[in-house]
Amino acid sequence: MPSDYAFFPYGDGALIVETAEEISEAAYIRIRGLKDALEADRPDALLELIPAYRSLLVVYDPLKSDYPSLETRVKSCAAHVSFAGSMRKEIVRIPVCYEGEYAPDLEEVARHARLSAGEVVDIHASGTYLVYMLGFTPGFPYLGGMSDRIAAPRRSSPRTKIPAGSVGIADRQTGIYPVESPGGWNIIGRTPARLFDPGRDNPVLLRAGQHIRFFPVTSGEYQGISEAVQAGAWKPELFEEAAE
Amino acid sequence: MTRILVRSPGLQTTVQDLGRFGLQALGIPPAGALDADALETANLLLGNPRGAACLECTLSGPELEFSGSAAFAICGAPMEAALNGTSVPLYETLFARTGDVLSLGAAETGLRAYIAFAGGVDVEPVMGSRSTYARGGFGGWQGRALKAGDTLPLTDLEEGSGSDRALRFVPEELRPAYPSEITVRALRSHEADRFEASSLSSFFSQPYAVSPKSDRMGCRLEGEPLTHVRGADIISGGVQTGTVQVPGDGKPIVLLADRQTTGGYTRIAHVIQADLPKLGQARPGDTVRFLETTLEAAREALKAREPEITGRVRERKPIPAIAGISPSAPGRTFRITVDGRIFDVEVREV
Repeated sequence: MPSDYAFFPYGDGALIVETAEEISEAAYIRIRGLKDALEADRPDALLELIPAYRSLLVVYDPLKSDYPSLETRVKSCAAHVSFAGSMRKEIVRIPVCYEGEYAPDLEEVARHARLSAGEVVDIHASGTYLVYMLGFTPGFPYLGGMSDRIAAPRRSSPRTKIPAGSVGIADRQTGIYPVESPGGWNIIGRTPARLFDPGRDNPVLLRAGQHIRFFPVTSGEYQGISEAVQAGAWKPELFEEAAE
Repeated sequence: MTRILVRSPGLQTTVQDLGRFGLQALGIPPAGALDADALETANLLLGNPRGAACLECTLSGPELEFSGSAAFAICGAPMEAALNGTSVPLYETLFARTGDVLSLGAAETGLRAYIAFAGGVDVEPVMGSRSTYARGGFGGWQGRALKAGDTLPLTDLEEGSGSDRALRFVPEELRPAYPSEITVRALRSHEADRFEASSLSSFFSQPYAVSPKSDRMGCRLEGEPLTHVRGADIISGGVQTGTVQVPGDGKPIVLLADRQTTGGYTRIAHVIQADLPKLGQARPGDTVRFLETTLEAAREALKAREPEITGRVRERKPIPAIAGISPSAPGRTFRITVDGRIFDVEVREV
């Protein structure tokens, strides 16, 4: 569907490809398809690809190619995009402790949703969340797919320090804080997994295009996984599912 | 191995190279020198690789003690430099011995000075770069700005860094000036039509003042607010260094090296790569204007950068033969250092 893409210069070292102005799996699949196509058939001047909800930034070396040649090249790639990459779902299982000090705002989210805390956890842990893109802070996943039933407005006064691994809800989004930072999300749990560790060979745990499923762990299990993470002996469980 | 002891850090001194690239899809910003021209010039003065790690000093410089001998050079914003209290020149290969103390004062113009050392600052690269990304707490020296008491290792020259012992300098007339009013060239964004036409022309004509809230993440500008047609927020997408985004208050922010990798504010323009070093030298209160340019002109400007930087650097010529002294006459050469400056002395029999 090449006509679904629009191409524009983006400064003197990048080209932006945009698709429908919406956050949707359909828009994501078009962006992902083009990214895969460009990775399989890399233009010489290509430096990096930055996928987002509805856009793909194609960063190039302007001393190696000029914009018109690059645009022609990207357009010809776009005309032959296969969406095969989106036919399989790669699912990463992320442990979350939804208890006590790890979940300071769980009761508040439950009150807002007129549900019990247990129901909020069940709903949150039964979803499958698409990692649309990474950004904001190193390794932060922008997730889609949360149930509207547990949506809750941001806290009126943001916290100055939210520990790394905190799992939160803001409006209709859920997310995980990769590093300690200030923030206004409602914190409903914490994962012992480290989404970002600059000292690790593979510093960022997740990739755009993967799906996440959260599973509840007790605080005892949290401690155990946390120690394994510290020792570099923990990896998340990964499996594939056919997309519907 | 020579180490540099930080006696006082200056306002904000960090280890920087040219940045880490190829990781923006993972949310990792490039970081790196905000005035890459100055960093590369300093490295060229020492025969270092162009992107060797240097110290980036902001507004006021550090006081450093050398644990051994080292060649170094200072470029960028002019900060009064002294070795053991005696003034030393900028833009020139200099030499320090064990126990020497280098001190840099406040920038007279511009904002950022770069101290390069022969071989480079030898901190462990993180994800392919030695640049400090303080917000993320990694890279450079312990992921942060320098503090008194830190001891930075320098690369051992015996390990073959490509550095040499030639003496180089940049002639006065070829050194960049850092005026308090600058014009940077910019390309209109594909979202320019999300601003009122009068706002777009205002962006490319009005003088902006650099806000004191500016940092390594962004150059924030104060001026007549710009008006969005359909609100300030967009669906988040990738950004570049030099991207000018405009939040709801209508005040533009030019994204610099420590920026986020994605942004959710409407983009009005992009500063061209060749002009980014100028913004890295803009200090709070300075005036910035944007001049609209074309992709072709931007490419020509980027091409011109390379010969301009390499063309600045001159080598001190060896002393010409003196009449009456045979160049083959037996003699010895000495290298002596006086107040940080190096002299090659030849002694021959007459």
